[in-house]
Amino acid sequence: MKKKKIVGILLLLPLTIWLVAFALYPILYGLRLSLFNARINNIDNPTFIGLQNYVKLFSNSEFGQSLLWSLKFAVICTLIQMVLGILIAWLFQRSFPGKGLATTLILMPMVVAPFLMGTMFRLLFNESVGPIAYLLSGLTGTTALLGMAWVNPTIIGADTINRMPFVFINMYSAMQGVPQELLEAATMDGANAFQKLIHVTIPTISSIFGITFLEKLLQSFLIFELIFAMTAGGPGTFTQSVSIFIYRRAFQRSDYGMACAASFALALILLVPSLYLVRRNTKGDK
Amino acid sequence: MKKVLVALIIVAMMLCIAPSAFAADDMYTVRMVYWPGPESDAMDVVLNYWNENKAEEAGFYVEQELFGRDNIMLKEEALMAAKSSDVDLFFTASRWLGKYWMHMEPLQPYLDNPEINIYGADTEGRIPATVDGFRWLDGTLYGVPMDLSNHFLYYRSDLIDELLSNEEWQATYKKIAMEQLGKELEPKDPADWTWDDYLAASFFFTKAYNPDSPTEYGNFTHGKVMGPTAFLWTNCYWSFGGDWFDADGNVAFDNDAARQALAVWKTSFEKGLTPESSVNGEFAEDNEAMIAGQCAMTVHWNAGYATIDAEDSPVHGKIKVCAPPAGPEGHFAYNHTLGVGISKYSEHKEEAARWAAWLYTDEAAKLYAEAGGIAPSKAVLEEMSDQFPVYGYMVDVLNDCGKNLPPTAGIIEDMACGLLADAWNGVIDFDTALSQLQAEATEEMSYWQ
Repeated sequence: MKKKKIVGILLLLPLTIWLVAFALYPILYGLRLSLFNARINNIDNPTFIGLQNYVKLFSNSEFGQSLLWSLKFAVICTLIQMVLGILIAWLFQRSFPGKGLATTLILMPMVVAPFLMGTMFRLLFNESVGPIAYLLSGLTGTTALLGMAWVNPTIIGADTINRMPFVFINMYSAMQGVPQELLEAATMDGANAFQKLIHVTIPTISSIFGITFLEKLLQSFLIFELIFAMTAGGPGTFTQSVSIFIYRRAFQRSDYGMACAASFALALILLVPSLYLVRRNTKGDK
Repeated sequence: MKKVLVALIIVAMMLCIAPSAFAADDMYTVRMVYWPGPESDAMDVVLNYWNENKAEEAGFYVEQELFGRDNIMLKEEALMAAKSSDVDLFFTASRWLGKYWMHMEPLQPYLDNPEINIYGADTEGRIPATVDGFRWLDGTLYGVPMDLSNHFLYYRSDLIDELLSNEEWQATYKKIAMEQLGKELEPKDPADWTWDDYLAASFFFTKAYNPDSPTEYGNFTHGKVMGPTAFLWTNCYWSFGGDWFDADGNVAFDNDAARQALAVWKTSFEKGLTPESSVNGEFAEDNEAMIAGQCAMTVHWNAGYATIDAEDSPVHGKIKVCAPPAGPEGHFAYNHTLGVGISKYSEHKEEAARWAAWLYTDEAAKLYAEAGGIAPSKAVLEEMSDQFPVYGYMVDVLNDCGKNLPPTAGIIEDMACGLLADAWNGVIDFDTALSQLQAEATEEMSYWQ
C-alpha cells in the first residue's frame, strides 16, 4: 500500500513541479507585480504602490471600453457560432455523399493558428488586392472590409470561420450519443425534425452544450491573435479587446504592474460566470 | 534489446553535444540580436566577411540572433529583465533608446581604447544626426547606427506632369480646391507643396470628387494603430510648429499645431481621399494600393520605393519622391535609425565592443549598403546613389529637412499612436484626444526620470 502511494506521488511529481514552476509561480509573481510600479527601467527595483494600479485601471476609460467591446464580441460570436455549429452538426447526422470531405473542410480552419488565420484574412480582405473583399463586394457594396463600417462584422466573420468548427465537432460527437429510441419515440409522437432537435437532442446533450458554450464564450472574450493580426485593435482603439489592452500595456508601454493588475482584474471578472457555469454543468451530470 | 537501446541513447546524447565539442576552434562567438528581413540579409554579408577575414585577428566570431520582426523588443525586454548574458549586443532603434539605455553599456570608452578599437574607428563617418540618435539625453553614446529609414512624399509623376501641363485639368483642380478647401490654389510641383496643396491634389485625384480622375483615391494615409503611423503624421505636426516634447523635454501635444495636423489627416479619412480600409493600413497596404494604381500619392517610408518602383511594378518609372509637404515652419522629413548596442549583462563586452567599433568603419558600412542595407554613412550613400537612386534622394531630403524624435519618444509612442488614431478616425474628438494624450504621456514620463 505504502509502495503504491510512493509510486503515485512520484508519478504526480513531474506535473506538480511543472504546474508550480510554470503556472503557480508566474501567477503569484504577477500578483505581486500588480502591486508595484514595475517598468523595464526599474524592473530591478520596482516601487511598491499598493492598489494604485487597480484604482488607475478602473478609472481608465480605455479599459472599460475594451471590456465592453470584448463582452459584445463574445456574446455575438458565441451565439452565431453555437447556432451555426449545432445546425451543421445536426445536418451532418444523416449520411450524404462526400460527407467525409465536407467534415474535413469544415474542421480545417480549426487547426490553423489564429495569428496565421488573421494574417491570411488581412491579405484576403485587402481593399486593393484582396480576392475575398472583391467577391464579397457584391453583398457588402464595398471592398473596404477593414474600414470603420465593416471592421467589426469582418472580425466576427473571421472568428466564426476559425472557431465555429470547435462548436461543430463538440456538438457532432455529442449528437452521436443521443439514444436512437428517444428520437424514434419522438417521431412516433409526431415531432418534426426541428422539434426533435429542440426537445430531444439539445436537452440530451445539455452538459456538452453548456461546456462548449462556456469554452466558446471565454475564448471569444479573451480573443487576441486574430484581432492583433487583422487590426491590432484599430482603427484607433475601435476593435481593442481586453487582451490587446493588456498586451499593449505590458509590451508596448512596458508597464508590467498595470498589465498584471488588468490581468488579475480580468481573471476575477471571469471567475464568477466560470464558477457558476461549471457548477451548473457538474450538477447536471449528477 | 536493452543494451541496444542504451547504446542508441548514448549515441543520441553524443550527437547532441557534438557540435559544441567538435567546433572548428575554441574562439568565442559574439551573439548579436538583429532585425529580420532585408536588414538581417545585409548584416549576413557583413558577418560572413567578418568571420572569414577579421575574426582571427579580432579573436572571435560573430553571429546574429533573429527574434522575429514582430515584437522583437518584447523578446529583448525579457532578456533585459532577466539580466541574461545569452546575447552580447541588443538590437535597438534611435527612438527606443530612452526605454533601454539602462540595460546597455556606454560605447565611447571602448571606442577611445586603442587596445579594443584596433581599427581606429570613430563616429565621424556616420551622418551626425544618426549617431546622436544613439545618445541618451546626457550625451552618452550607447550604440552603432546601422540602418536608416525616412519618409518621402511619393507621387505619380505621370499624373502630376499631366496636371502641370493640361489646362482642362488645371481648371478642374482650381474648382475642386475652391469647393472643398475654400481656397484659391494652383497646381504646383510636389516639392513645393504645402499641406493645402497636398489635400487639393488628393481631392482632384479622388474619383468621388473628380469623376475623370485616373485614380480611385488621391492619397494613401496610414491609419493603423502603431508607432510608425504616428511618425508619418509627425512630419505634418512639425511643419505646423509642434513637436512631441518642448525645449525643456516636457510632453507637448495639446496645442494648435497638433489640431491643424490632425485636421489634415482626418480630412483624408473623413472625405474618402484615402482607401476606406487605410484606417487599418500600414506599409504593405500602402505599397499594394500604389502598385495597383489606386492612389496618386502617399507620405510613406523610404523602404517602400524598391517595391513600388520595382521593374515588374505596373507603375515602374512613374514614381517620384520628394520631402513631405510643408507647413508654416517649412518641410520636415522624419527619420530614425536602427542599430545595435552592447548588453550591460554580456560577459564578453570587450569582444562586443571591438565588433561594434568595426561596424563604425566605412568598410562595414559599404559592405552593408552593397548588400541592400541603408547604412547611415553620407559618403557610402552618395557613392551608391547611381546603383540605388533612392539613396541619393535620401541624402538630399535628409540634408534639407531631416529630423528625428528624441530617444524618449519610444516611451510614449504607443499612447500617442492610439489616441492620435482615435482622433483622426473620429472615435473621439481632437480636444479629448489631445488633452488625454498630454495628461497620460506627462504622467508616463514622470516614471522614467
